[in-house]
Amino acid sequence: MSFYNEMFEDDGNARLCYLKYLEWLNAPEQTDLIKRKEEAENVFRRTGITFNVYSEKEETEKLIPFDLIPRILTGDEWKIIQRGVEQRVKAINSFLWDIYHHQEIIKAGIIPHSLIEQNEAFLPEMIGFTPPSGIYTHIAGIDLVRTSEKEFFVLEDNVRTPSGVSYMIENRETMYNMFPELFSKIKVRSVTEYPAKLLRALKASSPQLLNDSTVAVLTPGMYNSAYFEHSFLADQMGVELVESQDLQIIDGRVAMRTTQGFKIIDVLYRRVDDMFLDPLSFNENSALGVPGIMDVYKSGSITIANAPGTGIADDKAIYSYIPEIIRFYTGQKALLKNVETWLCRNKEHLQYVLENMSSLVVKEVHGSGGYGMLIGPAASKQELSAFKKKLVRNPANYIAQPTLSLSTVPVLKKSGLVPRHVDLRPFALVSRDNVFVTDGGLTRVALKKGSLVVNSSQGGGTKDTWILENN
Amino acid sequence: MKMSLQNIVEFQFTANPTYGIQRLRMTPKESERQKTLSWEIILKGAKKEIEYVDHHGNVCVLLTFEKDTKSVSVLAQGDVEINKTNGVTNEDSLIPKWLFKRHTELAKPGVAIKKFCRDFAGFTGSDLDLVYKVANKLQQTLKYEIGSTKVETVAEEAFLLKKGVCQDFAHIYISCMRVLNFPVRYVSGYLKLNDRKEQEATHAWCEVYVNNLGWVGIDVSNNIIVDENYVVLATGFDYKDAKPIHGLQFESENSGIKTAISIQQ
Repeated sequence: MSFYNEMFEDDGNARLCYLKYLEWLNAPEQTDLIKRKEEAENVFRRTGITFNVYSEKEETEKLIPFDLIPRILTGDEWKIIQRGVEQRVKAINSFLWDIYHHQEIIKAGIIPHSLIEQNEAFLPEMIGFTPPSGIYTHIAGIDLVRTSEKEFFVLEDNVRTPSGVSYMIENRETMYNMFPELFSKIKVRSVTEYPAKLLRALKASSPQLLNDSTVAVLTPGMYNSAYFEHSFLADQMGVELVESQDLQIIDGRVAMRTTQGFKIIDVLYRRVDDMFLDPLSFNENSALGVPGIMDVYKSGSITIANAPGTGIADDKAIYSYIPEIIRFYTGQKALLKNVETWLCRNKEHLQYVLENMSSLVVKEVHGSGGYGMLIGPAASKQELSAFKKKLVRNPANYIAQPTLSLSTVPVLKKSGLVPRHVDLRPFALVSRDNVFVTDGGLTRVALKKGSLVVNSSQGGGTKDTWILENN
Repeated sequence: MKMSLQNIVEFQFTANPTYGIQRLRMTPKESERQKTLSWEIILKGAKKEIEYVDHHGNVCVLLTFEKDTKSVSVLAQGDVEINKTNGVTNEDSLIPKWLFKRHTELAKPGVAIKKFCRDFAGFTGSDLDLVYKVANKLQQTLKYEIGSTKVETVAEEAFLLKKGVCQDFAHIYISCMRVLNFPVRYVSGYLKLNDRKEQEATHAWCEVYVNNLGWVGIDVSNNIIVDENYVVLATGFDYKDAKPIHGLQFESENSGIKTAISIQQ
């Protein structure tokens, strides 16, 4: 398999968008770059950017490795992504409204109702209810991979509680601090206004027509793997970070305990999963949620971002229908391609997957973080046969995709620059009549040679992502 | 037929709960079959926070306990007009009928229920006949016995015991009808027994959706088609989203619940 190297052409010449950067990198004064790598790691350790990794053993806090070599995209390349993400996110919002109202897409025979019926992410509680301002996915993160100069594929939509945006911002901050001269040499679009835009989008979705809505961030607590991000975003937006025990229902509204007494919340950016959001409505043993918040929500007095029940749109089985979903609601062809997907719930697909497993990537329908997946080409015979057994036992739980030739961007090693596979998660913010795609995103990089798994839980790292000011 | 209803529920606590919250579905549900003429909910030891209509069309009232209260009482009362519809009802709802075929935790069929349903596999009569036939057969099979099951008992457990109360009868019937591919829902409400004014408890029954007809009310506990003596409070996929009172409280236990229901024509 050949891979598209984003920095170098096949003959070893640098691609245009990296010329200025390489000029800087190859200057004699950059010889100590490898030492400065440690400097960057120290910055991260000081700021506390860590990530919990769930494993059989004790939960441990781990530093996500940061690679100093930026990933650079031109304005033109970015335009493809931006438009594609915007189109996708709009269609997903239309789909969510439809699926929780008249279900025209099912009546039209485009999606089988069995796909919804058997899906735990579908919340009947949302039927007939329109969230304040009509938005379901205030924040969306769309995972992309690149396979050639102009080809980007969507690997996954994340419209429940996408994470990673704090790394996008902190990576940029670190680069600014370490290499300020680079940013005067090369015009890179800014990502630092993201928290302000997020706050504006959240406030704009408030159920109250006030200029000054109160926003808060709900976190499951410090043991959550993304706690750093929750507190980071609350801090950057200048809003309260709250936990379950800080909240209660007062005068028909959700209120938070503050040093000045209780304060009403208009918009809650929650980083707690649906099932734990309200013990009165969902998992009754949840200590992470707010009893009665769904009642307040349904009476129209609070915005919950993202809306409960959005998970029905980013499920891996629904994913394969997204191009048709886009066509159905927008009348357009999908700008970003989907990866061909076999749904193992379908008998013929299952047969194909079992016969071709060694060349496929098999994932759990509800899985995330790279857990519970199998990469056929990298799996041993034993692993393959063990996975086949799992698959046959519960086929509906799995999907399979071809192993994609993910593009590479070099990372810095002692030996110099070596290519490693990357993906990209751009972040979109949805307001009443527009979708804003942040000029950047989170580039994840597989640090092991040849590895295609970029998830931080599987030893992946991150890079700063540059979108050039010029085309 | 016009009915006057009154239901008082009183909760006593062992200690003052630090925080308590309840969702009431104690206002009759509007439908073609029944119209609410007047209704009020009076609370003691608690405060009404919100009122809204849920996805099933049930009126929900959310209440929180007053500080340092040792008891909470809920009085729901008013007048309801019940139309003669031969047990059939219809209403506007966005919930697709196929969603009522989805098995739920409380009404999931096990081996025994599935086996019971197999007897109806070759049934050649009308859908409506089948609706009655299954109810009939269950009524013959099951014994109504107070105290034989708990509130969390699931359909299959009660079916194996061959006994239960109205909640179990309803769950078993729901389970069977879903196996037989009918949309079916749980109903909680009141049944006016003709020989008395004071009633023992709220009742539970089912509604099965029959094409070209509507929701047909079936009371398996009494093996009858729902008539004008039945007042619907709430409907749901099972007991969980149709129960009249659902709540939780912190650092306290209920030491007792007293219920008094009176129904007058």
